[in-house]
Amino acid sequence: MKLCDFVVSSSIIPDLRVGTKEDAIRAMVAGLREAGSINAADEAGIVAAILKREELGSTGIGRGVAVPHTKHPSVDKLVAAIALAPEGVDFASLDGEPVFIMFLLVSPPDRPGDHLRGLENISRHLRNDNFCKFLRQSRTAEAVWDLLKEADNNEI
Amino acid sequence: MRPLELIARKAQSFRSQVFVTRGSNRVDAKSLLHLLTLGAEPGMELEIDATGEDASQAVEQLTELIGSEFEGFERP
Repeated sequence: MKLCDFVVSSSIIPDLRVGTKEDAIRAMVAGLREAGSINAADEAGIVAAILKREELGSTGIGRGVAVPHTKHPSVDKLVAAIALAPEGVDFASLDGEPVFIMFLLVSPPDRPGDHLRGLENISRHLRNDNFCKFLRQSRTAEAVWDLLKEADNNEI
Repeated sequence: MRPLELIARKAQSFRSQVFVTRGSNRVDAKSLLHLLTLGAEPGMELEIDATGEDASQAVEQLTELIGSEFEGFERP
């Protein structure tokens, strides 16, 4: 599985400026809706499910990264949005640090393997210091997309 | 992912360095990001090792936590 297989290019937000984690999640789900990856009718339900998941434990996994996610029956394949927040977002992360990079995932409930593989794939790239650094330096959605392609080809 | 958070929190309660291994991938058990790269699923075999003054307690308690299959853990 490659990043470009499930990240929705037109939902990438390279310069997200929001006050709260909830605002960030709303903006990213709206991005998926605008990209046509989720239906407008499901948008509120998906936001609610992701926020409910966050209540159980933050998906801020450290190193300035968060991976908010949910399984939702309205999608038939794994889809992900990316947002970069130069000013940081308080995600109540395990390490207490603000979050600058967010990958938001929505996957079908009957395909738990894809969900796991998506998270595994994202975390494997995020362990690479250069990937994180270049991602945070990206100023446009095109630059982010080019970086994902390079990461998929192990060129970073 | 929530079981991984329980593993990370438990590992962080020890001074020792603690590692979890699946196949050839050995990662820092205190890092949620590193644990996620294991792609661990229920029923999968994982190895735990630790180095430091409280290493044996760390291995014992982590093994117990994972072996319990996170008993009482509420799945969303």
